Parts: sequence; C-alpha cells; structure tokens
Amino acid sequence: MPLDAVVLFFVLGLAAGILKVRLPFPDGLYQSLTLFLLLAIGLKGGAALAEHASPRIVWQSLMVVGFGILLPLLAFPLLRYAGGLDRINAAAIAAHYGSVSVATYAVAVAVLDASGVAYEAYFPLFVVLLEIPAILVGLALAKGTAAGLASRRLAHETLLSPGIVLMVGGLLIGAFAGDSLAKISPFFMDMFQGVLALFLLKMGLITTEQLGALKQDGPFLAAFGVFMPLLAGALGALLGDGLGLSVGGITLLAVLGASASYIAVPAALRVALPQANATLSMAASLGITFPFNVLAGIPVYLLLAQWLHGA
Amino acid sequence: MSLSTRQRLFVLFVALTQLGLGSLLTLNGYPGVPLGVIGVALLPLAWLAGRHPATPALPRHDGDHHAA
Repeated sequence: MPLDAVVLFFVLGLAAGILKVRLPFPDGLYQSLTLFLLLAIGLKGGAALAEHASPRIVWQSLMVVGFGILLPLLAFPLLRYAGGLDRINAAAIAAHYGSVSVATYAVAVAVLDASGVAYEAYFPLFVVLLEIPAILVGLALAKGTAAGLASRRLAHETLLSPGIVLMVGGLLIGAFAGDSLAKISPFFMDMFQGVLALFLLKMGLITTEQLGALKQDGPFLAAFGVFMPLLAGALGALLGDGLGLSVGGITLLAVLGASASYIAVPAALRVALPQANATLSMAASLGITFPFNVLAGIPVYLLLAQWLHGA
Repeated sequence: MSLSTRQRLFVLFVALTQLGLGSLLTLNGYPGVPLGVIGVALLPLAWLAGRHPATPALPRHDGDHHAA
C-alpha cells in the first residue's frame, strides 16, 4: 500500500530528529506555516458553511460540544487513578486530550482527499467548537466548578487564542466572501498540501524533542498516549455514525476525538494552571499521540468509519 | 492495589489491546502492523512502569511555542 506523501514528510522529520541532523528550519517559517494552515482550514469550512448551512448543523454542533465535555471526564480518572498523577497534572493532561489538534485534522483531511473519501466540508466549525470545552472542564477538574472563565486574562487566552481567532476569522471570511473567495483560492487551497508537508517535516523534528521528556516521565504516559486516542476515536466514530455523517465525516470526528491540543490548551493552562507541568502534557500529546494518530490511528479510524457506515 | 501494580496492569492492558487490534486487522488483510509494533514496544514498558512520574512544580514556558 503506498504511503501518503504528506505523512512521509513527517517520517522524514522524525528520522532527521532521531539522527540529530541539523535541519535549518526557522521558527518564523514554522509560525507562518501554522498561520497559513489555520486560515486555510477556516476558509474552506466557511465556504462550505455558506453553501450547506442548515438547522441540522446546529444540532450536530451541540452534540460535538457535549463530546468535547465528555472526553476530559474520561481521561481524568484514568490519569488520576491508573496513573497516580496529582489532581492538577491529571486535569491539565485531560484538558489537552479533550481538545483537538489542527495538525492531525489537516493530515486526516489530506488522507481522505488522497483516498477520494467524501466528508462534510463544514468540519472546521467542529474543530473550533472542540477547542474550548475541554479547557473549562479541565479547570473545573483541577480547581472546582467555580474556576470557569472568572479571570479576564484566562477568558482572553481561552476564547481569543491565536489559533481560535485565525480559524474563526477564516470561517467568517469564507462564509461571507462569496465568489470573491476565488481570488485567493490558488494561494490558500492549491498550496495547502505542500504547506502541510513542510509543516509536518518540522512537526517530526519537534516530536523527537518531546520524546526525551518521556524517558524520565514514564511508561504510563506512553501507554496513555496510545490508549486515549483509540478510546476517544472509537467514541467519536460512534457519535459521527449516530449523527448521520458520511464515512469521511465519521473518520474526521474520530480523528478530532483522538487528537490532543497543542494550541489553545497550553496557552490557556499557562495562565490558569501555572503549577501544572507542561512538559508532561506536551510530551504525551506531541511525543506520543500525534505520531500515533498520523502513522497508525487515521487508517484505523477510516476503517472503523467504513465498517460502521456499512453496518 | 498499589500504584505500581495499577500502572503495570494499565500498560499491559494497552499493550495487549494494541497487539490484539493489530493482529485482528492484519489477519483481515488490513494494515495492522503499526499497532502490533506499538503493542510489542509497550510490553517491556509494563515492567518499567510503577514509579510515580516526576512532576516538578515549575512549569515549562515554551509549551505553546510548538503550537498547532
């Protein structure tokens, strides 16, 4: 079976990182690629939303938000009682796993496009919706239900994080630009796969940096990092099937459930839970779960979606 | 049940789940090898599991630097 070219760029980054090759990859370029991907995903979703807007999407959105609340509630007891982590760190990691990774979503979209599998094009809306609830649940788990968004700075970091602003901004531009969107499509749509490939090369390098932290922080987190995506992915697939999504849609909801955040959650928790050890969360989500989803998880979620849709 | 036993059992459970799922997929003609490899890699980790992860109070400030 031929491997997806985009995924192979990630493997190249991993190999370069493991072999300690000094690839010159400026931070500015990495930030630019991130900005491009967030905007492009938002634009695509906004255009689709304008085309397919219906009351059904509102109902689906509410269910997706409920899913985002459920995931950290599942992860927390595992981390706390099976892993023996303290309440603060268990809540912080649970919040990461309840939220989503835009990079994993972008890879899943690339895989579906390459396989010719159709999906609901308004999915970026769900990506945005799934970013926030897990942060609030994570805070409630760590500090009690009064935590909420009481702090103005926390509310700002959570609701106006750069990732959310760029994606929501892209969604709105895509939804309201109409035919004029065609003017910027060659840049944002046609170049998407190439930019994603470059981005994943850098992600491969970053992943190898994060793996070092797991050497000291334990086999438990490694196991958790591959177990949680399978559990959340299966639940996401079941929800997608229940919502009547297409095979591609079920796969994407599984991927969103299975992925762990690296944008909104670290930024918000840095403000809200400064005592949490960010290395633990980042090592598990970037060092284990991201490569797991990219290399092994996404094909499994696609198979599960096909099986559910067929059944 | 002690923490080390719970951690070992959890890692073992995950390893066996990955191995089982990987085998099931492979036997049915699907690409299950990656899951099987992960399962095999986790098995020895079950023996190493059991110590409480080091959780220093000082947070790292560059977590979001790797954003996306």
